[in-house]
Amino acid sequence: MVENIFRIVGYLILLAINIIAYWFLHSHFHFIVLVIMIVAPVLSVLMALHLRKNISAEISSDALKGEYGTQNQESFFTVKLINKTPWVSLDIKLLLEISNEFFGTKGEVLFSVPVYSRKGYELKVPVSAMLPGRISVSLKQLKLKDLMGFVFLKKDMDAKGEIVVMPEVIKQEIGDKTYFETGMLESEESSKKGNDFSDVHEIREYIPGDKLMSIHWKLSAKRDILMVKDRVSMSDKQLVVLPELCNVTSYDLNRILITTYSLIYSLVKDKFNVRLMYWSKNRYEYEDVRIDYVEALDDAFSKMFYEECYESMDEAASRMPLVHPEMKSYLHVTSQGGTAMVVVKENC
Amino acid sequence: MTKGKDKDKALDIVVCEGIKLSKSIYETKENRLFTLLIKGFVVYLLSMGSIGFYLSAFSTIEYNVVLCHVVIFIMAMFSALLYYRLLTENVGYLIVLILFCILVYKFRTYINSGFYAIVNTTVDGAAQYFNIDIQRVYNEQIEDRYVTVTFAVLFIGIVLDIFLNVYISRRMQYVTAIFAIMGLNMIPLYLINEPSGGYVAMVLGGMALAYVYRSGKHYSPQVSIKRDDIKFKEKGKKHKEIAYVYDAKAMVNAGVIALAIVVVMVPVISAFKPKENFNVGYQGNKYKELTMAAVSTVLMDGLSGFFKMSEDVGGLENGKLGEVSTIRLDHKTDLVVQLVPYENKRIYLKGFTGVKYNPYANTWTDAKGSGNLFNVAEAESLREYYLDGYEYSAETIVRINNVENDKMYQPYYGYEYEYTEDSPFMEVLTYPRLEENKSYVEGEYYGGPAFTDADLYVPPENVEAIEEIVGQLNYPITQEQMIQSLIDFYQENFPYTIQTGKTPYRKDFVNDFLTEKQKGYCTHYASAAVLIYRYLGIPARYVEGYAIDMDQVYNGELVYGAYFSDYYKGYSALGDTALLEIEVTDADAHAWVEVYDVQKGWHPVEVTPYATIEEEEQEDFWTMFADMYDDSEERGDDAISDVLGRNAAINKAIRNVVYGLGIILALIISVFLCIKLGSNIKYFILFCRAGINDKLIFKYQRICRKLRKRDKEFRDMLNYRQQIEYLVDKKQSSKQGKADIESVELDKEVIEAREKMISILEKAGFSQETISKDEYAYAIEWCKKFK
Repeated sequence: MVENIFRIVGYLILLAINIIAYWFLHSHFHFIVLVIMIVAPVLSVLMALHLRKNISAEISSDALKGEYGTQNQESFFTVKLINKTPWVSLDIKLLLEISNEFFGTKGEVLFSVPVYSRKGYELKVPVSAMLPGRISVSLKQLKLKDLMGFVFLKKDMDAKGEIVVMPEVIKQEIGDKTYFETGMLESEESSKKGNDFSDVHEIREYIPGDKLMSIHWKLSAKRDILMVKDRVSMSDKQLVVLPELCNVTSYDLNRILITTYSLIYSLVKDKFNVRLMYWSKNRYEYEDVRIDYVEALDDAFSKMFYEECYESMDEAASRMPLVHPEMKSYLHVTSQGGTAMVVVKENC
Repeated sequence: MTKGKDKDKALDIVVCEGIKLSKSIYETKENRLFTLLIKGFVVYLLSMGSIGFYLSAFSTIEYNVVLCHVVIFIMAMFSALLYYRLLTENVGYLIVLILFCILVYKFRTYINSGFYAIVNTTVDGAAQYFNIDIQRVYNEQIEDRYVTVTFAVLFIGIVLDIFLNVYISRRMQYVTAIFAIMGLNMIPLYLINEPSGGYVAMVLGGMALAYVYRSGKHYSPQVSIKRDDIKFKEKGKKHKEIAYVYDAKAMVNAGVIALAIVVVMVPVISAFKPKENFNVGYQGNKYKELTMAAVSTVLMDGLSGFFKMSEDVGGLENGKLGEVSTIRLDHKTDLVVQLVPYENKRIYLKGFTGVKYNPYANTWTDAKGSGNLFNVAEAESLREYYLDGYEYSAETIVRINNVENDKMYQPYYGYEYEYTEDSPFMEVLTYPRLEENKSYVEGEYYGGPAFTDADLYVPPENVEAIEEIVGQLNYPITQEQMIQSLIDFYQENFPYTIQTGKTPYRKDFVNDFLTEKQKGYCTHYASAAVLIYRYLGIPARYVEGYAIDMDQVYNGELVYGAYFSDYYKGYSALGDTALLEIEVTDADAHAWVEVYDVQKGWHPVEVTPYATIEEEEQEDFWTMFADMYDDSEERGDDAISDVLGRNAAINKAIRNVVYGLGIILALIISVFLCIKLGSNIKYFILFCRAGINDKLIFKYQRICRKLRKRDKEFRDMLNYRQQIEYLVDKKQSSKQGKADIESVELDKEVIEAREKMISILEKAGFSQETISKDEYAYAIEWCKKFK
């Protein structure tokens, strides 16, 4: 505003000098200058008004790879100003609001860009998210300066672009740890190693088609009827991973998300079937997503990032016995003392 | 703040927790070369446009237009491209300078001749406009103007390219550029020579482009920024923004619109109001006319014309006429006169009597054989009447001290004079002719004819001009009517001015006055009047000397110890007065006419009008000040001054100068106050718009600025902690009466308060958090203690 006032005052001084020169010399040249100096600001403002009326904005997003962005890597938002008029502005102020809606953090960045005649302008904004979540860029208002720099015209806009940023995978951590350390039961670990420590789920009479290996020979001899052991293999079970979406500190939540993502990623890569469960504060129930492949993991996280975080580090786990009493155990991903940890939690 | 090599190092921009803008935004490149070419085009428009502007105004100048356009265009582009890198700028300018010097040296004769050709053409145009004959012509060594002017244009164009490039390419300083190119272009406009529409469009187009680019604020990296091809840069001190540095496409778009407006408007306006008949019916600007005398003097004599002071005698030089453009007065005392006032009439001190007028030589001489130049016959006759006890006769002693030179001046009608020992004064025994004195001069005292043919001679060269004036007089019959008729004619038609301009070379002074200038000062009126009176059959002479007005006499100092009766005897219209001393300056120098009639003999006649151009023109402007400052008594004096004419003008001019100085002083004070007030208003606006954090910082910084002025040691405190600790220590030391603030012991409460204040300031200044209202109030209270 102050800058504009100085500019207008400066222009008026030049105009006054020209008027004096015209009055003194009465030259045709100064007359032309006088007319142009009077008309030009009017034209400039009219052009700016027409431009403001016809300018619109769109924001699109583009990750480096695929549909989703990755933590600590650049994602691009393209702010496209569309100008249908032949007029130009050499200075348009764009106040972009950039936020991580999952973590609830946001900030603003002011850009100054031009607008071309009939084409507009494309501003590519490279955003690096250090925290995973939903990153959005929105443009609520722009300020358009006229060609002669006398006025800034405001225009309300409603353009928004969004990209989901996945946590980065910590492969090293997973690789170095034993399966036990990553939260498996001893039996599950043995099974992974090839030993079959399967549990006998039921003993029943033989049904044609049963495997011979399943016949409980000892009992069959006693009862004189073929009995079979109905086995349930550990490899047939699904692992349940329950992260705590607790946002007391961004650091803790970040670690929980990274650990959860990395753990499931690793398990899925090893062809385990994993169930991701998390407490939905919005729906007041558990979300349960079966994850069989990596793309499903991304989709699950993408959906999860629309949830609202809570403040208790035990929120999801504390409700499990009540909501899912049938579940014996699950992998609870939580954070303690600034370190994310995965613990096998008996559901009782 | 980063320094040295890291100054331009790009860093990521932290937007908020967990999000940052990658520094890769600064890696976006822009076509720097193209933007430089656009600036080169602006320089070309301005430089070639301004040269064409000047030359096209004088249509007689011809040169190779195409070649000049091409060379100046290429040079403009080249000089703009020098700003591509610091290295190209430094080395390029050096090479250009060397090449330029070599070329200028090689073609210096052509350039000089071309330059002189342009100057001579300009002078010719001016001579035509002012209707003067200018002898000062620059010698063109090479006669082929088409070639020499082309060289001169190329030389001027290249110099302008380099000069304007500095202002346009680097900072787009359109104001400097405009004043630089329009300074000389005022000359043809002053002479009412309009340039061609094409060059007007070029100049205005260049100005419009520079103005629009400057308004957009994205035309160039500043000097401090590394010159590379980056497109975006973080700008702003308080309100950071990521702004594009320059954008070739936007510059082209904006430039096309600006140029289109100018290119369309110039012919449209010209069609609506063509330049050919733009000034038809225009009477001219009276203020411009005031400057024309000075300008014509410069054209004829150069600047030395301004310094012709005519020996400090108010433009009078023993009958030499027309050599003074503008009378400039030193107001130093020329004569000290002691006299006794006897009636309310101007007192003349005669110094030179001109009998023969020399046309074209523009001089008056006291021709051989002319007698009674000092009016001795009239004096003797009046003395006779006095001695015979005639009722209205008188005898007085006038004392004159010529402090300027040895020249003798004497009043009407001095009988005899003598110098007394130990006194610089010459005493003149005088027999004044009072208004009531109707006695006749006895012819016998002339010792021959009272006047000769020389006193009636009119040079044939002047007859035509005189006849034209005489034809306009109101058919006078008697001598008195003739005299008065001319006075009235002057009063009505020939205004008084001290800025006449010199008499043009090879022109006659009287003819020029009567037919061309028709305005002037006393010598003009008196010289012409003498010849006119002679033409009408009245013996007349031209007289120079000093005229003392009665307001000066009344403002004179009383001479103590001098008795009235010792210096004045006989009839006095004012009764018994006293001997008064008057200082006569060059402002009182005057020329008048002396005519002969049978009753009075040779006597002075005042023909110079009392109203002046300066008075009339300045009246509009100064009336309000005169009304404000003049008291009624002074206005009353002015009534006398009006009658007395010339001195009133001088007094008024002096008063105007004093008022003018007062206004300038008032303007300076106003500007100073505006600047001071402006910074306060700016602070107030910023303060109102700021958040609570910034408000606190604004207030704190304001107090710090004041403290820095008062306290030298405080200037060394760089951050909030140092500043607050210093202030607290200093306050406590004064409380405890200790001179050394390092030995101050602080209470726990004081330390806590200090730390709280530091934390609030650091929170407000450096963190993303917003301080609470309580914290703000606490900090403000704290600041007030140290205000």
